[in-house]
Amino acid sequence: MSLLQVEGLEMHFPVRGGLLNRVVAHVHAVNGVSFEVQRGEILGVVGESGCGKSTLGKCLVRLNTPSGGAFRYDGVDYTHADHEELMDYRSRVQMVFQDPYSSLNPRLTIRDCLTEVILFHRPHEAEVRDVDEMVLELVQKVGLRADAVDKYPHEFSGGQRQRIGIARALACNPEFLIADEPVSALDVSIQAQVLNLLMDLKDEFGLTLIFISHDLKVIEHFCDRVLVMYLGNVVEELECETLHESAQHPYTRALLGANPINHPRERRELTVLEGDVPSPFDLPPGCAFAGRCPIAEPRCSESRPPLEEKRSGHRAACFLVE
Amino acid sequence: MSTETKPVLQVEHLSTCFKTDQGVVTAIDDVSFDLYPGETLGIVGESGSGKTVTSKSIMRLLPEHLSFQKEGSVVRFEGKNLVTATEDEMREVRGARVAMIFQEPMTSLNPVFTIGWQLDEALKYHTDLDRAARKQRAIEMLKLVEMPNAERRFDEYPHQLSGGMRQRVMIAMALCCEPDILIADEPTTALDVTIQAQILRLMDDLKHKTNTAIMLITHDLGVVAQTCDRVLVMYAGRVVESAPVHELFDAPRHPYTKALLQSIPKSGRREHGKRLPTIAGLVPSLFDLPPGCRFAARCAYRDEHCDAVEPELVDDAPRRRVRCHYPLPAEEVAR
Repeated sequence: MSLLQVEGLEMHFPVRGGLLNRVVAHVHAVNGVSFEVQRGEILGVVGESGCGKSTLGKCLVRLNTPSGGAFRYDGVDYTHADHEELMDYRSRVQMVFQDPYSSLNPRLTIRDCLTEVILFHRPHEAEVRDVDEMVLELVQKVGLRADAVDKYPHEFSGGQRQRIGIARALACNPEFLIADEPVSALDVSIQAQVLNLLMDLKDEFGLTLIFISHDLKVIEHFCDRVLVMYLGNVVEELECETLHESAQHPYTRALLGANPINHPRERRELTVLEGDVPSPFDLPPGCAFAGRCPIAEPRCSESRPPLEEKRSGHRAACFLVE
Repeated sequence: MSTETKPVLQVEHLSTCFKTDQGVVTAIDDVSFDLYPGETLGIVGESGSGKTVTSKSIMRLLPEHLSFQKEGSVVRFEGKNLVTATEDEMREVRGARVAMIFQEPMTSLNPVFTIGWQLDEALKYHTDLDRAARKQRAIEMLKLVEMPNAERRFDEYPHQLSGGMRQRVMIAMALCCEPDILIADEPTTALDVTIQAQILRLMDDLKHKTNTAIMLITHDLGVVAQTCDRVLVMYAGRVVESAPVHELFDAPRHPYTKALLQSIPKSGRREHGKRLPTIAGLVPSLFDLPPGCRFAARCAYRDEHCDAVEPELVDDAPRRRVRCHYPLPAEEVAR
């Protein structure tokens, strides 16, 4: 059985306005997303800004309560779980955020920050073991020096802070990590260090990961499978190993075509999409991508293509993909 | 570049220092390069390497009471040294002859004026056109950068535009006086890849149409591979290597360049799940620079000589320069 099952997940944010501050519209941030994650795999989520990938991540740790659909973790439905149940859930599923500076408390030393998590989520273990020792172990696991524990977040560089963010997520000994753009704010040489660290920790702790990024190159390198999102919908799901050959959805093809190249020898005309992204307030009835799609047909703007299995392990939401 | 073409801009021994609470710090140290008409020169480096300080020093956009250029710094443009030019002389150069686009298009446009007003401002200062002609020219520029509904956008405010459209307005503003040089400081970093592709294609088209020299500052080696003719690699305030783009990607001579090229994930290479080669350690603090090579502490090829003596930037092959005691052999790596 899959570790995480997501079915028709929706997240609509109300927009208030007018004299009486009534709800005047909804932003359709996530619009009926379904997928499964198997134990031990790394699932990538890729898409451009505003496609709902971060909201999806936040729904899955219940920082947002989904407005529709459901998700089950290890067979248990946590979509509307109460506070007690969430405590247990969040000690198993943790999140790493994009900006490691704003997600760390500037007034806590690294020791205080990690001790808090350990005492809260692993109280029984903390009774029999020396908490300081556990903190030190974590800090060294993420590749920081032992003297880092008594420093404050501002004393570290961006890459080091992201390591602390990862250490904090690992402090409650989770099984599942949702990483939201964990390397996007980092320089390339530091990005490689953090990606390698995540890979090592995944093996060591037997983690399952959802890795959210806008960078297809990073996803391709790091993940097993990828969900491509466009305007709140998954438009394609496929294996990363054969991403270039098997990507079928015109949006995925456009992303691949717009991605910068590895070597000047591969120079080509970059794919340029015409038109603008439709407003998430007022979604078109048909395929959300139809307005910019180079191969769209009239039926594309009439009804929304379902996300169908095209071949084993490959789903696409497009009428024109065989 | 053929040998006959004269460089449009010559930067020689440019060093910029900042006065800080902890003392004077040299942010860029002895930077020299030439820029030729119609070429795109990429300036690559990680944060803090001095890319942006280089461009702002050329444009003299750094706060004068906090920063200064060392004796002997020269930025030669049309026979003038911009480092010592008066503010009036700079006003003639900035915007008209040398234009700049910035990373964050929202913060570099004025939110309280319309797009049209902001385009008009540059034309008012730098041309003799009358009002109607200026408006026509501004709308032409917006069309040139493929702005949809250019006439309507002319009267809109920056917040009504998307990020990609704002960056196109910045480019239109930069190009409206037909500058000889366009300095683009991370022009696509804040944008999505599909929008980035539009902007890169646009800059390339404009270069071919107007023969403008482009100085493209970026940390993204993919963007460099796609658009640049020549590349300057910076590290901790120093130029460590300069080379034509193909040669740089085929055979980097400086260990830093090689390590940087290897540390980016490659697309379509089926290197899935493999560890990426990394550069161990951190960039040295500019307050506490080592006496020898600035990259030595992170370099795989270091010896005592590197720790003791900083290498000079030397001509290494035609149009190639490298700052290393032991430059890597010219073999194909990092493909």
